[in-house]
Parts: sequence; structure tokens; C-alpha cells
Amino acid sequence: MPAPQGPPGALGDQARRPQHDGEDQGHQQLGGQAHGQQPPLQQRSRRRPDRDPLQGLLDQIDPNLDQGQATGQASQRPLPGSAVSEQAGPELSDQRAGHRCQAAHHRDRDRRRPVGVPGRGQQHQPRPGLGYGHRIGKGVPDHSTAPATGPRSAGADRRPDTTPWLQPYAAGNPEGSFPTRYFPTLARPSEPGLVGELVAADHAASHIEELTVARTSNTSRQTDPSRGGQRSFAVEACRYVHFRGSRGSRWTLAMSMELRSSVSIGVEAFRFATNEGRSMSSQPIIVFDVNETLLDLEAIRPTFDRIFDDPAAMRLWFAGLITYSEALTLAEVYVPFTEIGGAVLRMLAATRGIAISDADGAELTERFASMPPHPEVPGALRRLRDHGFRL
Amino acid sequence: MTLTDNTLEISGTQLERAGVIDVFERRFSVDETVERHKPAPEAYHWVAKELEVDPQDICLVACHVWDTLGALAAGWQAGLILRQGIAPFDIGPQPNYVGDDLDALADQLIARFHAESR
Repeated sequence: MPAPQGPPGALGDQARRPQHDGEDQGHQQLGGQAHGQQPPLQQRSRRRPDRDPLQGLLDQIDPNLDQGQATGQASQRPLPGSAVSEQAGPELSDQRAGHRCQAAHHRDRDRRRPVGVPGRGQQHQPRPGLGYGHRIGKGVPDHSTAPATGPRSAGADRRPDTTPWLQPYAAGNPEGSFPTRYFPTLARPSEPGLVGELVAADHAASHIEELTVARTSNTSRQTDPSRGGQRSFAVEACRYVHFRGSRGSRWTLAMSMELRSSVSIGVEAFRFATNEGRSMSSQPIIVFDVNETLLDLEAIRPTFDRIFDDPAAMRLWFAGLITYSEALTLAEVYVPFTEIGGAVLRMLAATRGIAISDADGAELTERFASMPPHPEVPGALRRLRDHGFRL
Repeated sequence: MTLTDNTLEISGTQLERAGVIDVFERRFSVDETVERHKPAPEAYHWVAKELEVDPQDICLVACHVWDTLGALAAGWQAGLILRQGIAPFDIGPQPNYVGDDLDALADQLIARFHAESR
């Protein structure tokens, strides 16, 4: 992999640095121009030219975007706060269209995942928790375990088209709404006719102060002054990208984020192509988890209350059951779930000097097998089935 | 379809006693083949393979984030039910649908997909 020429700490510097897990990266200096670098979009252009139907679109974006517009001036600008809702993005659309969202990193040619490395002098410093934003571009499920600089697995390159990473709000909020109840500070209600938006927030909020967005679209909204160009979204932080695209329209969105601390989370490029690949608009087959999802776990509570005389015991046990089923799985030891449950029960009891009898275990097993459904479940299941879902 | 860490025997007993076993085409258990508990990717990949569909054409409905995380990372869609004591986990892949109960999730799924299915 040829390394772009650029000063240490500049964006293009990333390509020759080891890549680690996203939590350990995503920091680098963004301040200032990165002189002498190849425009990252051109780099990307060389990458997989024959496999990338969006490349032409990406190439239409001003390569400067890759520098994130994250200049010193940007970092000094006060936060407009609600700017997101005032900005229009790419052409809006039938949100039911099959969005295919991909994340690609400019400088990480074959790795569709966010990249960031420490800037000059920052490599060995403790890093602040950046929250989620720096992972926005994650498109590869095995991202965190990917070898730093080694070749990607074939699977990684096969999978970007199926990444769920950016789909939730495109797919799950057809009215363009954001789940404000969970992220109340992020509420950015969609304007009618808004063609795309960045919905931004971070639990490490107030760090990111600029987003730069560019798009190309062959169905641009006429009234959108940023059509075909680029514009900055000043936001407090960025966690999610939310957009709607129309069938047949294509647009590209690229984003950069700069942290006030002058530690950057780097530049992410997101490529969206609606109506590309397989559609997500067909009814999914619904696969249900059972315990607690469909059945009421509270039904086992009496056993725990009796044995432990502690209302917290039941949840402790269930948490331990999950923890140890995961631990055993990670350790590649398979033990049936029921046996794990029994062992966790005994372990929990032992920490409190309580002996578990066979009858106790049998009682728990019986209760576990007899949990009633949550009250709405039978009706909701049948309603889904009656609407054609395969359950 | 169901996918559970429990054995098929137990999940069958559970769903039968709960009176909802009839709505499911098939039940999967990690105990059958993969012998890796959720959220191990193999569990989800195996179900997709058995169903012979693309991962993105499956939606897991669960009330545990460790489960929706596993499904989303395996390329599935996911819906999270916020049962009592459950709250969203705001890092990692986020569920496509979130609701307080299965009715709420069903509403979202029906609203999104039913018109197209007719």
C-alpha cells in the first residue's frame, strides 16, 4: 500500500500507520491543511475501480472535502446548535427504497471502516472516550478484530453491502423521525421535504463541531442551495447519519468531524446508493428471541425470592447466565443453556452461603419452562402473521 | 421462527405452554448445530443459511441488546423491545426498530412493509 505523502498527523498519514481497534484509534490532528497529500477521493478512485458503482459519484465531490473542511477557523466557530435541521441534504425519497449504506474510509483503501490515528505527539497519550461518532463509518462487522495492517479477510470485502451500521434510521424511521425519546438532546425533526440530514449527537457531546457534507444527486431538490456542492453542518457531535433517498436517486454524503480538543476523529465517507443491490423493502423473516422477549421472565421470580430473599437475585442470576454462556462460548466450550443456568444458580447461592437442593433446581427449570407470554405477544404475533410476515 | 439459547425441547415446551407455538414456522436452537450461544455470529449465520435468505432479509426481535448487537453485526435487521428494566445501549450497531412491546414493533414493521407486500 503506497503511503500518501503528507505531514505527520495529517489525514493522509493514516494509511501508513497501524490500524487498531476503533476505540484505540480515531484520533488525529485535523487542524490545518494537509499539504501535499493526494486527494483522498482520488486515492479511492484507484481503489477497486471496477467494483464500485458509486465511484463516479464520489469523484464528483470536491476532494477538499476529505480534509474535512476542518480548518482552524472551523474549530473556532461557535456552535450554531440546531443547524442540522436547517440543512438540506440529498434528495429525499421514498424511504422504503432499498437503501444500501456503505461506509468507506478514504485513506484506508481496502477497509471500509473508520480510521484515525494519533496525530503528532498524540500517539501515546491517553485518549478521551470519543463515544460513537468516530465509528460512524464502520461497515465491517469484524472491524475490531481486524489485523492492524494485514490483509483483510475476504469476508470483510464481501460484506459492506450488508452492513447494518447506517441503516437503522434509514430503514426504521420512515417518517424521518429520530428516536428522540432515547436521545432527547439530539432531536432534529425532519423538515417536510428535507432531502437528507445528519442527525448528530454524542454522549461525549460538544466535542465535534463541524460536519462537512457534500452530495451529488441526479435528482437534487431544486430549492436546495447546496445542490451539487458541499456545506458544513455545525453540530455538537455526530453519532448518526439519517437520510432518506429515493428510488433511483443516488447521492453521496461525506462527513468530517473535528473535535474541539483538536483531536480529530478523522474523516469518514459514507456512500449511499438507493436502489442499489438488493432491496430492503421486502418483508423480512422475523426471528424471535424467546426468553423475556416473548415470555415473561418475572414468572421465575418466586423461586429466587424464596431461595435468596433478595429481589435482586433473579436479575443477578439471569445476568450471570448470559455472562457465563458468553464466557463459555468465547472459550469455545459448549454447555447447554439449562446447565449453565443451574451452575450459575449454585454459584450465586454459594456466594451467600446458601445451599441449592435438587428440588430448587427442578423448581427453577419448571418455572422457566412455564413462563407465560407477555400479554400483547399472542395478538401481536398473529397480527404480524396476518400481515404476511413469515414468523 | 424463533432462535434461542435454550434447547429445542425447552423452547418447545415454553412456547406450547404459552400458547403461541403455532404461529412459528420453525424453531432454531443454538443447541442443534452450532453449539455457540448468542451473540456468537455463527448462531445467526447458521439461521440465515438454514432459511436460505440473505442476512438482511431477516429481522431479529429481541429484548436484549446483546442479542440485537449480534444480529446486526451478522447483517440482520433487528428490533428491540424495551421490556421492563431494558434500555437502549447507545453504542454499537443500533436496532432498526425500537418499541415498548411487541405491539409497538409490529406496528412499525407493518407500517413499513405491509403496503408493499400487497
